[in-house]
Amino acid sequence: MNDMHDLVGPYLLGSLDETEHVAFEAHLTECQQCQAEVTELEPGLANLASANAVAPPTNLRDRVLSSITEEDPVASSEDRPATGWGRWLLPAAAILVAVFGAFAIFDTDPIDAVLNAPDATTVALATSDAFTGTPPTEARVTFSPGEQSAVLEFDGLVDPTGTNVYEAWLIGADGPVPAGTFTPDSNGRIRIRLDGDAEPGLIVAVTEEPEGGLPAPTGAPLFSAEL
Amino acid sequence: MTALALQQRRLVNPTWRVRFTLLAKEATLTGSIHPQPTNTSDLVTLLNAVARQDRDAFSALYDAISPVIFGTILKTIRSREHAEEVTQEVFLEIWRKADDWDPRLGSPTTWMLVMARRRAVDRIRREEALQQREDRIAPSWTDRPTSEVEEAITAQEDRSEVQESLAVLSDAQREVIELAFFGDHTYVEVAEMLGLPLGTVKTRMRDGLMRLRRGFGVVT
Repeated sequence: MNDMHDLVGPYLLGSLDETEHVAFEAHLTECQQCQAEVTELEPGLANLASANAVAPPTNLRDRVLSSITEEDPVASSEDRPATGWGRWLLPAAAILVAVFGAFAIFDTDPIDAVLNAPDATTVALATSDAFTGTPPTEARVTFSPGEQSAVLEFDGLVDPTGTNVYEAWLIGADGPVPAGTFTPDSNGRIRIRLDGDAEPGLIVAVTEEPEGGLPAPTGAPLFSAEL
Repeated sequence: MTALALQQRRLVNPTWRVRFTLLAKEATLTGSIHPQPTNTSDLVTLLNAVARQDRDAFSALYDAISPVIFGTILKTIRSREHAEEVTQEVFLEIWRKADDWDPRLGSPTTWMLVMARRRAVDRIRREEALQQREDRIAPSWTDRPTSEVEEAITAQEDRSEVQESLAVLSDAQREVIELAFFGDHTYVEVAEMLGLPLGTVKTRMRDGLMRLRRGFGVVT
C-alpha cells in the first residue's frame, strides 16, 4: 500500500499512472501537508521546464487558436442571453427533431441503429505515421456487438490524392476484408456504416486506394483501432 | 471592428491589461535564452478568464506558457510533429477544462505542465499500441518511419542540454528525474528499471525538485 504523502515528487514530474494520478489529486485537495509540499517544490518543476523551453512553430499558434474558435460555445453559455440567430436555433432544432423523429419511428437509419445501440462503444482511431496530411480533428469508430456492425466517423479529414478513395477494412485472423470506400465531404466529414460483420477483437483500418476500391489493401494503414 | 471600438473593448477588459503587460515584458526580454517565467498571479488571472471562455485571455495564456509546454512535450516525445499535435491537444484541454483548475492542485503552471506530461505519455503509449497492431495485422505494410533516425539524432543532441539543466543534481537524483521527466516512465517503472525500492525513487524525485528550486548554477 502506498503512502499518498510520498507522491508529491512523482505527481509534479507527471510520472504517476492514470489511476494513481486521479487518486492523488483527490488526496491533494484534502491534505494541507501535501499542498504545502507542492507549493514548496513547484518552483523546481517550473525551473526544470523553463530550462528546456522551446518556442513552438508560429503556425501552431494559429492552429491552436482556430481549434478553439471551432469549439461549440454552448457548454458555457448558460449566463448569456440568446440573441440574433441563437434565438431561433432552439425552436428550429425542436421542429427538426419533431419532423425527423416522426420518420425515425417508421424507418431507423442503419447508422443511427449502431450509434444509438445500448451496447455501442466508441474508440478513437489512431493516426499512423504513414498519414502525411493534417490529421483529422475527429476520427473514431463506434461498435455495437448486438448490431454486429460498426460506424466510422471523421471530421476534418483531408481529401485523398487525385481520384483515390479511402477504403475501410475489417481485419481478423484471415486478413483484411473490404468494408467500404468513402471520401469526405467539403468539410472533411464522413460517417459510414461498415460492410460486413463486425466482431469484438477485429481491427478496423483505413487505407487510401484507387477509385472504386480494391479487394485487398495496397496502401499503408492510415488509421486503425481494435473493436 | 473599428479602432475605436477595439480600444473601448480593451479598456473594459482586464484580460487585455494582463496581455499587454505580458507583451511588454516579452519586448524587454529579447536576447534572453530562456523565457522568463511569467508571474503566477498573472497566470491565475488569465486562467480564470479562460475558464469564462475569454478568447483574448486564451491567446495571452498561449503566448506566455506555450514554450515550456511545447519544450516539455518535445523532451518526452522526441518527434517534433507529434509534439506539435500533443501541444495542440493540451491547449484545447486547457480551454475546455480551465474551470477545473483548483489552486490546491498547484499553480496554473504546475497544473498545465502535469497535464502536458500526461498527454505526452498517453501519446507514446498510443503510438506503441498502434505499432504493435500494425506489426500484427500486416508486417509487410509497415515501413519503419524515416523519422526514427532523425529522432535518434535529436535525442543525442538533446542529451547535453538536458544534462546541463540537471547539473545541480546528484547523479542519483539526475538518473530518476531524467527517466521520469524526459521519458515516458512512471516512478514505479523507474524503480523497476534501476532495481531500487519505490520509497528511494520517490525521495530522490522530491529532493531533486527541491534542489532545482535554486536554479541551475549554469553560467550563461
